[in-house]
Amino acid sequence: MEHASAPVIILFVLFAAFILLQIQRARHGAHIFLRRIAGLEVIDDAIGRATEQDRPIMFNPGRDDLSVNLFCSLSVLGYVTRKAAKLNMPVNVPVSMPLAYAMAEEYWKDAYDAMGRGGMFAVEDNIRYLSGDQNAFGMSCAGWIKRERIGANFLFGSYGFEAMIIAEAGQQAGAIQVACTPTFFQVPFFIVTCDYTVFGEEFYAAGAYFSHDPVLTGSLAGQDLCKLVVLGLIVAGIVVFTLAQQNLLASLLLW
Amino acid sequence: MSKRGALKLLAFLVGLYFVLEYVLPEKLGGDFDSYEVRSPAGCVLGTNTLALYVGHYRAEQCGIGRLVQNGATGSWTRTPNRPVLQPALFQAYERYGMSQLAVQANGTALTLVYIGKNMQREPVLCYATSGDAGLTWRRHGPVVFSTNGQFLSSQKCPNGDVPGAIQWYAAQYHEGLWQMALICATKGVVLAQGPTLTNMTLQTTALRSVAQLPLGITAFDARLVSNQWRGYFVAEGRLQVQNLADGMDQVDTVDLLDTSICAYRLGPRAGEAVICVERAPATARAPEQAPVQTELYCAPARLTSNGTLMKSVGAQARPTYLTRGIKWAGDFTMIVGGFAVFMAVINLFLYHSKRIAQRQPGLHNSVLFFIFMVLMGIFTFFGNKPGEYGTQIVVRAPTPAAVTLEAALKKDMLQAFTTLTNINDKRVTVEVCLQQQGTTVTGAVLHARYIGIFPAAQRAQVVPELRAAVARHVQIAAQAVQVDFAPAVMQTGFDFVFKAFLVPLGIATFSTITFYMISAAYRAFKIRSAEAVLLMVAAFIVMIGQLPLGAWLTHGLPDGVFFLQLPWLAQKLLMVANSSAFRGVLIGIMIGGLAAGLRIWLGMDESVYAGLDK
Repeated sequence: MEHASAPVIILFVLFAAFILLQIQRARHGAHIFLRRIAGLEVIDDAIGRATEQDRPIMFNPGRDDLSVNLFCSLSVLGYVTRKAAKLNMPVNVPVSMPLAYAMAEEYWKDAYDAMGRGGMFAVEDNIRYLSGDQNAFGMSCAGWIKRERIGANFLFGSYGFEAMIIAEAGQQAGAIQVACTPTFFQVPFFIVTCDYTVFGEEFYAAGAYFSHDPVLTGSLAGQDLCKLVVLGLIVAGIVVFTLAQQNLLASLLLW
Repeated sequence: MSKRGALKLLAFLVGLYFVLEYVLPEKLGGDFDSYEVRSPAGCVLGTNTLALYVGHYRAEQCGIGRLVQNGATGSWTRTPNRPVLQPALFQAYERYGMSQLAVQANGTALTLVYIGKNMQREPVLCYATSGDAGLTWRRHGPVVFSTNGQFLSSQKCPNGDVPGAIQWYAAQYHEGLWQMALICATKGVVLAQGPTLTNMTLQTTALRSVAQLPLGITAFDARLVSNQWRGYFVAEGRLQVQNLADGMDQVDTVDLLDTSICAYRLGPRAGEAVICVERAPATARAPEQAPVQTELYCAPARLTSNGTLMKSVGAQARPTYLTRGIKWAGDFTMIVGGFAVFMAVINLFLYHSKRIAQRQPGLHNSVLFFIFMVLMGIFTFFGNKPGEYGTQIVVRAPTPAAVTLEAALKKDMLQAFTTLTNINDKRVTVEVCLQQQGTTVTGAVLHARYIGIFPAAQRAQVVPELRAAVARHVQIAAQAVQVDFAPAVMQTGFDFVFKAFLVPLGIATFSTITFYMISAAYRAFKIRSAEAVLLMVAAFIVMIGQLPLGAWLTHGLPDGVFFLQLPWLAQKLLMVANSSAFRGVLIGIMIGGLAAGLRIWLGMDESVYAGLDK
């Protein structure tokens, strides 16, 4: 394996420092502005509408196994489940990976317990391990959505081609759908089938958006600084390369 | 320390293990080739004799090392002590390692051809060049082959038109042209030549089919001799030198002193070859050591001796809790994963048994679930055995006399099967049990077990040939050979459930995406806003620009307005507008992932510990 070169190590240390410093700032009470993300704002409305229609809510954590992405989507599962628990609504969670099943169950139970609704819904009816196979997982989710007439469908995580099957089934069932994914290639499919689509880095910001935890908001501010550095490097690279290509740098120096 | 604090500390330490082990392995001490050394290749560059080899510091992690021969003593020294080339982290075609090196000197420049292992661990033939005697290398990506003059490399077919996976190859720069002999998985020996390694014209017909190759090849190289390829096959304890064309006549056969040669490359000088020998280790191996011990030698090309030792495995890093810990961490993850699978199965069991007990609607699905779960459990346990694919001959040979017959017997019996149509689809294992009295073989029983379908007519066709093959070698009458053909029930069951249920169901599911796409596209293309108009126009240009119709519609435009040609516009939209947006998003994702990873690693993200305080 090719190991990190010196510039990569420098950038890594710099980025880590930015993120940790901003977290520290946020912990000390600095105000950090969070941009409004429509796709995340609508989650409360979607849960409310599903409750009014007496239709269940589904939260799909995608096909991530034990990874950073899974933790990010499960933190949103915690938020959605707490909101739904407050309204005595069940949250259905289809799972594709065995480790994700064990963790989703813990988040789900924890949220119902926190709202004083522990034991209201059976775990095995609401959190179901469907299949590790993409085809089977996609079709099982689609069948579940249609059978239960899901009212609000949240797709948070990484997906493959099954994204289209699941999201189109939700669209046909008339559910409000919010997709949030770091998988770039599934974004077009989500855009055409879901009411709101959030993608890229906003996927990692979702947890901070709901919790307003200083650690998370601070890390978002740190990420913005990192992006500024990358942007600066890109612009500097373009300028230097263009000047070098045209031999303009030499002309300027000579002049 | 609280339970949460202890878990955070554990997570931090496990994270640290991975960072130190994967990011800075050689910083922990020890050589980069401490696990094993493989795939040597040598050449003469000016007055220097060089060799390159693949040094592993873990099973799938390696780097290319450089050896220089001392002209006076003939000994080989690793210079420099670091790898001169390593698999690139972000190059999919060599993500999981490099093997089978071939190095050619051309003036002061060196060209290294090697096989990289891509994300699917499939072989991709790649090359790199060096202008400073192999100290630094510039990689150029995959070698591109073509049969029709269009030298295209894609992610799916990085080597262009190569027919099947490249198993072995030989490369030579000869009279201004690159010449290659490839052994491809299904096709056999195929030749290619071209002025550069990205313009290799491939012959459409194979020089030699797979069936004509020696069995059990463990190493291969070839050289052009009087414009004819001469192949050097290391197989079944022999070095077989054969002309690859015109009747494939055997030029030379040498019984090897060392039968565990796993790499053979001609060079660095004429009449020499560099080889890799595998040895069973004399002492018990530590977890961080390879199960076999490998050594590189520079030997006579005919392998009449092992020659001089070039390189054995490098110095091992001093085992610490850190280096051992990587194995413990891996084992721990596997155990936790195993428990999680068990939990998932219990969940399925509970859900479906509840549906049956309460006679809920759709309970037939739950009944089917249980039936198939039991069936698949039985078939998988008894039928999914490794090494059951392809035609295989197993000789039960209890005496030394029979052992000597084994190779010839296997070859003739496999030959009997090649006369069948669709032989590549058949999966048969023939167990040959020789009946002996003393050292004399008095008879033989052939237990042939097939998976799937093997028609009676074909069985009748192959039985006499099998009998004849045995009678030819064992000196018994063909009638004394009993052939017992029967299906392997469990393997056939396993195969049937996969081929008749899972694969068609998967394909059917995948095909439904087409219908979903149409309904989704209809909604997307309904013009409701300015963005939708933009989307519609862009989609129209990209779709029609990719078709011959798009080229035909705008081919008449004058050169001055080339930018209005639909194929040009489609390519610009895809390669400039789309790619730049994609890269922007990717940078954001990477930084987001870094921040989230850092938070979890340092125990700052409390949401990770859900349910811990109950």
